Amino acid sequence: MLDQNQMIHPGGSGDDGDAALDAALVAADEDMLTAISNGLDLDRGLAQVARARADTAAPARIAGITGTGSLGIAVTALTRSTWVHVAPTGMWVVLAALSVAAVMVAGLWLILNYWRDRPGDRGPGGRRAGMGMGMGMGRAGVRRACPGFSWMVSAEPPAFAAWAGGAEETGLTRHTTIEHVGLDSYQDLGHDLAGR
Amino acid sequence: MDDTDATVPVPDIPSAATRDNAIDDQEWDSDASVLQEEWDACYRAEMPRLIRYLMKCFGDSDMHDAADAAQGAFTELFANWNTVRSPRAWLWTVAFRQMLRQNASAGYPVDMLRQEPTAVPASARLELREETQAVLGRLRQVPLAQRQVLALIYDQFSYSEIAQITGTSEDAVRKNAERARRRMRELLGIT
Repeated sequence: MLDQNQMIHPGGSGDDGDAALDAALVAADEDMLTAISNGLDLDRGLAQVARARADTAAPARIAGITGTGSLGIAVTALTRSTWVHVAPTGMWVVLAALSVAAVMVAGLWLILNYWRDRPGDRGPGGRRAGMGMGMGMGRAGVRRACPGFSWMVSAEPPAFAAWAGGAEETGLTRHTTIEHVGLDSYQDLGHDLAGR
Repeated sequence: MDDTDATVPVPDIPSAATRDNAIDDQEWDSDASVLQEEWDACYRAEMPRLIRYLMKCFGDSDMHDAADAAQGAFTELFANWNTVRSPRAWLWTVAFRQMLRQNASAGYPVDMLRQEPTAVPASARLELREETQAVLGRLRQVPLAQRQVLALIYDQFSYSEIAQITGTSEDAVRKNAERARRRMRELLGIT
């Protein structure tokens, strides 16, 4: 049944020719529909659609992980890739190698960081001083090489300044800065120590 | 004129807003089963018609190509069921584009589809009457744009819906329909 806004003979003048054409086309349509319906397995088609829906919805079922977070996106991408396609073995080898490398780098960073910030081991002859000199991490070394930058020294945390000047040797406490003793730089501090 | 036979009822597919309002968290299970019934009814009623539409438009394809395209369109539709406002028009649009892509990827340039089609027996795998095969043979000699409009008209779409599906204006749809009918009458020898 055609819609009313299409009139009886859509696009036509409404004469007998149009009626004959309509009859021919509708008869062909009905014959085609019958043949197609006979050749279709609709139950199977519906099952395929249901499977496709299940595959699409599956990643969203991972508890506690949403698809919008960075972790969720990564997990969704991984899980979808494994469900939709068979991931090649090489991909997993590369992923495992990258994971091991990341863990090793992170572990090394943690160990070095702990070693550097280890409390009670900050004297000039201590382990930290050696590290600072060897790895360029000692900011005091930079300041010693650049006398006159007293403003930088004054901005330094007291503990660091005390450590840099050697608190034990100078008799300064960890809360004493260069400015507290009226010096302009570590160079002056060196001269002052030599004079003592 | 009526291609809606009594054995395959066309479901009254509600709009997206109606469906959204109908879904309540507390009645999720029952609503899910209702949705499933809607999907089933929609699929069973529209799948054969969608395949027929594609076979009429693309004279050089067999039923299996059309069925693949239609199946893909249904899969997409059910994945986006709550956001599609006019499921039937959406299906016809998506499936047609899918067929265009399939034909293009199969080695047929898309532009070829807009030229005068050759007489390739699209319904060779279907058991059709001789009269039907004759009508389809003539239909394939009509340009694709006109053939598509004619097929959509006999699939009970309004001119505005056809304009939406084909991406043209209603005037263009009317002109194509008129030309298609005139051409078909000439080809079938109807005076």
